[in-house]
Amino acid sequence: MSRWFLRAYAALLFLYPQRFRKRWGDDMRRDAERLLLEEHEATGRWPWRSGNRVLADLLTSLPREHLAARRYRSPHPVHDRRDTMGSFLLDLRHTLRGLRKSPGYTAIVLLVLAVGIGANSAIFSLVRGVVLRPLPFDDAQELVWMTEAIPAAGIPLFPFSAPDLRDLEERTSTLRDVGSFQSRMYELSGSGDPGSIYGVRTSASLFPMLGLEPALGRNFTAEEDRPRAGVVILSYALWQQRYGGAADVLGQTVLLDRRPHTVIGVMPASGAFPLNKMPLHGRPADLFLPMGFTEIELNARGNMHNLGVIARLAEGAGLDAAKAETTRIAGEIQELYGEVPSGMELQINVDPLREVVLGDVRRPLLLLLGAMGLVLLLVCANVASLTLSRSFARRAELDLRVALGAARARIVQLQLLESGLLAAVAGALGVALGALGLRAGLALLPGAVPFVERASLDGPVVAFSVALIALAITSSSLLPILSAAPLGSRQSSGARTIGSRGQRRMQRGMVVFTVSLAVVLLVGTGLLVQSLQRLVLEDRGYDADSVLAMELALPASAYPEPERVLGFVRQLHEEMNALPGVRSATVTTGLPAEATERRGFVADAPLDADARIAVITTWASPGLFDTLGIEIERGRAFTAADRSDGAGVVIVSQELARQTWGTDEVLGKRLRWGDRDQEWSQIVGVVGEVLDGPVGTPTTPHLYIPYDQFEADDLARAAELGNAWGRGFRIALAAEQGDPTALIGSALAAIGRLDSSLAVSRVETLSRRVGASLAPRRFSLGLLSGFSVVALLIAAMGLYGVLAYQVAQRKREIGVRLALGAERQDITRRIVVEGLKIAAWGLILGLLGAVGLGRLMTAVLYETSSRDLQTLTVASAVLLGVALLASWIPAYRAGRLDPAETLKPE
Amino acid sequence: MAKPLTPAVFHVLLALAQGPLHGYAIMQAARESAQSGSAMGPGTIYGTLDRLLGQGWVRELSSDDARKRVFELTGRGDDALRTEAQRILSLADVVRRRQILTEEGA
Repeated sequence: MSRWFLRAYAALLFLYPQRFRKRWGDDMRRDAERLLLEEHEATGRWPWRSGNRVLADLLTSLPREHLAARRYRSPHPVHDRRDTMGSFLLDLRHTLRGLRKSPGYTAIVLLVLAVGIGANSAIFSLVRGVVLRPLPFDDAQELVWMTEAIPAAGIPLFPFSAPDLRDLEERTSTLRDVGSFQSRMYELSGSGDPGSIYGVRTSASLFPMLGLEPALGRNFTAEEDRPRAGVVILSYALWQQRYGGAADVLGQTVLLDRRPHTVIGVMPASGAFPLNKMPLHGRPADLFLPMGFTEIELNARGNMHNLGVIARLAEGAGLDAAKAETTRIAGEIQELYGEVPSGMELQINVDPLREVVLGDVRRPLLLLLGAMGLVLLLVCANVASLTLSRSFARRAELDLRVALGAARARIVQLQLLESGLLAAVAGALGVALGALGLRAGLALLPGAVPFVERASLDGPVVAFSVALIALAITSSSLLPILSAAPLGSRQSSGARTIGSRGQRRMQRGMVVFTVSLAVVLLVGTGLLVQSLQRLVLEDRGYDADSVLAMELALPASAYPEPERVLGFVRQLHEEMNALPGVRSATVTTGLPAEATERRGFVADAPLDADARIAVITTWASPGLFDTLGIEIERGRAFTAADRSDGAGVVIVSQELARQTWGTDEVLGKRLRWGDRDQEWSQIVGVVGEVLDGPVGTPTTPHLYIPYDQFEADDLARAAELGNAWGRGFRIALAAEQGDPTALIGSALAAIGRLDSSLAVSRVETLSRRVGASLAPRRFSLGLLSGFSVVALLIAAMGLYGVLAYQVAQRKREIGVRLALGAERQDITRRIVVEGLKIAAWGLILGLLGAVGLGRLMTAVLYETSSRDLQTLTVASAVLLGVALLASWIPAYRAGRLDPAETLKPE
Repeated sequence: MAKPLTPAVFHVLLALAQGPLHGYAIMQAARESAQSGSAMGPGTIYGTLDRLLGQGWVRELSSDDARKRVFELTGRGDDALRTEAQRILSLADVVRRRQILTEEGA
């Protein structure tokens, strides 16, 4: 039954003092066995109750018996229980004295442990905050993110449109709730300065589905989910900033795009939405409005795909069931589109929300977790090797004590006390370091990674650190004790003991191991650096460095007539172009890496004559391509002559030309909007590709239209319905030379002259604006670099520690050599060579390990081989350099030893 | 006044007050009277017996069966148990007099 348990118990009895064990051990084993047997017979199951009881008893009685045994032997018998503390304090004082006697060892071990523990708890906090914690929604595992797709047209996903969403909601049975949202900039006025703020329209179903409750007031009702409902919910941040957290904000009126809205609720601080990194405008909104689909939106079949859709799976319905059902529904929706060429089927994607939000940071973070494991190993190996050195050095002392009759248990006890003390102090230091490190790390990563704001050094993380410390203690104290197993039985070689060859080999093995781990981390960092450099240098198809970007939106209330909007854009473009220092300027509805407006169109292509293809569509004033440095491959750019009253013209990207017509030679070809019988527009130019996603992702087709051709009807209707469509602009200014941010002042002044009440936002360089897509990689790089520095430091300290010890141990030998006429430089050189030898072995092993492990990194590398020669070379050079320094210090000291001093009798 | 006994000592003495017992029986009796299983395991019981033997409160009876060591209370052990019992009773009196446990709480 529980033979193994009893066997283990019998083995554990050896932990009791010898006298006690001999006297009572057999009885104890017999009674424990009887206890287990009786329970087993009574219950017929494994006797876990008795098992627990026996173990708990063991844990409580063990220390008691050791204390009793000590009193028993003490020359001044202490009978009073209260004196136990006194003897503990005595031990503690003894240990402290021992540590004070070797300050070098104490300092290095403390430092290694503290740095290791600090780095690890900071990283673990981040990983826990970002990856291990669920999304901040109710039953987040049931939530899915939904998009549409036309795989045959090379469009893996695009956002939902209002009519498609309606159709889905009407037909589904596997989705319990469906919520949607859509964002844009609004002009906020009415209290305080007018400002441009980021608003999100949400369906009334969204917040209840996610489990988000306003902290004040209420959610939108289904009745309010209509156009111009005139109600608004504030985010916690806006409430604090603009209203100072005043409770009477409910019922107040704010002007959004100069239309009154009543505040009906305030979200709690924890209710930020959309989450950072949530696709489509992923950053927390300043305020929320009801979705309230307009007529235009509801009738825009195949158009205005701009909705984020989140749904909750019905009870019992799995992801697969939902996928099967949505495939069927997609087919039904497609029929409503009219005739579609075969092969161009519409599909609906259903993806777990968690994967969508965390997708691209998960892998790098798990990689970091691996790096953290390496650092942990490194710390333990290093502390063990240092402690080993020390205990070999103290071998003589220990042998002497045993000879004088000290109990081995007592030595073990003191050793454990010493390790425990070191670990406790290092743990406290480490947690403090970790907190500092985490704060510094968070400050360096604004919004680059979802949920970084959730990472904090909290309870479980501290518990993790404590577990780390415990591991470090055991490794550092157990190893020397085990290696000193035949204590006392071994002949003592006297005070000059320098450790046997086997021991020294073991020590060196440890250092070789730590060095090799450091090499693995160094190489990993080097590969990421290479990869990031290549990413930054990669041609994105436009020039982001010398361009200044900003945003503004024209309120429909102030600019109701389409002519006024068109006129304003024309005037704005002219003003911007005329600014001193501006080489070229453009006013556009979208900049690279953020254009989300997709449009369906019909081409006069010979193939797929009726295919409605949804492409990223940008309306822009002349100067777009020149300003952004987008290559014009064929034909011409837009000119001021491309007015709405002339024949319609468009420019397509090469990708679009090839996908639709199968060739670049498309000048003169025509296309038109699929949803209306409109005039054909003629292609007058073909431009190069622009990268919208992160570097390394495929390019998507683009369509460019002069802003002057923006459909006046659409603008007018959108304005009538309070819709911002076509009224949000980005201004891009290319500087003639130098820093584009120098243009900020004059640009803002020029806009102010046109309309002083307009709010301009997100004024920054284009490279900064699009730089966010590199952020996750920069993030991993930063952390991994931190790790390598830590690893390098620890390895160097280990190397230094071991060499310093050897020098200390061999003082006498070195003294003799010097006395016999050895050159000081020679001594120094020999020790340096010894250090470098150890480092070289570590390097070789480390490089082998790095190449082996490199395969795991390919997922996060970009156009960099995991065996990149340059990286391996640089890593090796750095390591050898550090090793040289670490060996030189003790070697230099050895060379300066005074022979007379070292040869004095002890 | 004498110092209070530790629970382990008290319950071992209490068990032996009924007559000589072997270790396992002491353990079971102590567990029953202490109303808690976990504290009264083999290590605790034999550790306590070890000290009680040293103090002369308990003695080991010679037995034919080396596997069943039987223990009994000495006169000093009996005194100690009585003193402790007296102490507990007078403590109980204090509690009662101050009416710390009300009718419904009792």
